[in-house]
Amino acid sequence: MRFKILAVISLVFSFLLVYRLSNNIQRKIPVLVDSFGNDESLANTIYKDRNIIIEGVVEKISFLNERSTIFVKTEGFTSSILCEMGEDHKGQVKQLKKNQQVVVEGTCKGFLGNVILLNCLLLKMNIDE
Amino acid sequence: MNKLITALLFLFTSFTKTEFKGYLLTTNQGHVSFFSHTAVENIQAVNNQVLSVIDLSKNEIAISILMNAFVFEKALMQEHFSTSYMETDLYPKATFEGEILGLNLSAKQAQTRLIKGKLTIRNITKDVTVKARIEKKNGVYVFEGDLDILISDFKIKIPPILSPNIAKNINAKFKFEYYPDEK
Repeated sequence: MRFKILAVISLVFSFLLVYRLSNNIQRKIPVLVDSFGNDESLANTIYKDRNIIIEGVVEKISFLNERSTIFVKTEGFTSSILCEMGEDHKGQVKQLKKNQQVVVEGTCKGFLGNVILLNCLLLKMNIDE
Repeated sequence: MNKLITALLFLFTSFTKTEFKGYLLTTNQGHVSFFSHTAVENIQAVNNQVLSVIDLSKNEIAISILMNAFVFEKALMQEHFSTSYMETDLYPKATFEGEILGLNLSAKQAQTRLIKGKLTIRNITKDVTVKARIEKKNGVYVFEGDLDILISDFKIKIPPILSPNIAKNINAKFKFEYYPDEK
């Protein structure tokens, strides 16, 4: 009986892990930006309304329109990702500095000059940068 | 005018701001919101990622809005808006191209000007005239205003059962801050 319970729990955890991984897409910024640049329609079918995880450096921090927004880019690459942070993350964003390494997760809404991620959260901020 | 839209799109992908310095000012964090008021419910949505450029040499303005980036209070409202009403898979962007009439670049105080242009939603283009308050503060041009949009003008189909929930006339507000150093 105990074995069966453990087996069910393991199965549930495995399912949740696979579900989370399959719903989050991790992409390098140049790959993501190039996808939209090459074929915006195709990129929308892949990324729109999906959770995307990106890693890069902070290019710009903005508090315009009473929102916290960071622009994240890869060094040596001109295009950046616009990440509007979730409402609870203003404090974290205030601690960020330009060129700081970050990992951000957010919902991809499409491309308008930048790839736009909304409702973002900071998964990692390297304060040694 | 199409050249301005082209410049708007290329500006953020190919060129650096210095190439347009002095003539084109841009923002990629323009604010557009709309409000629908009926006796049944109020619906409001906000988009803070609107792309816009003004060409001060020609008094022209171009705006591009990613319709999927509107944020609603309720997820269900957002889903209805994107999939049923605006069909954002088919029509992902709305655009406006217009001319700012009588813009005085040397004005030190806020000025109210009419902007006459073409608004395109769901691939349907209508002539519109918008009143905007324009102010230059510390080198930043701020454009603010609102306009009423008739949903029937853009063939937005509302199911009869939801018709009492959505106003026939939607009020849209905008605010654009064009920073000289904006990318």
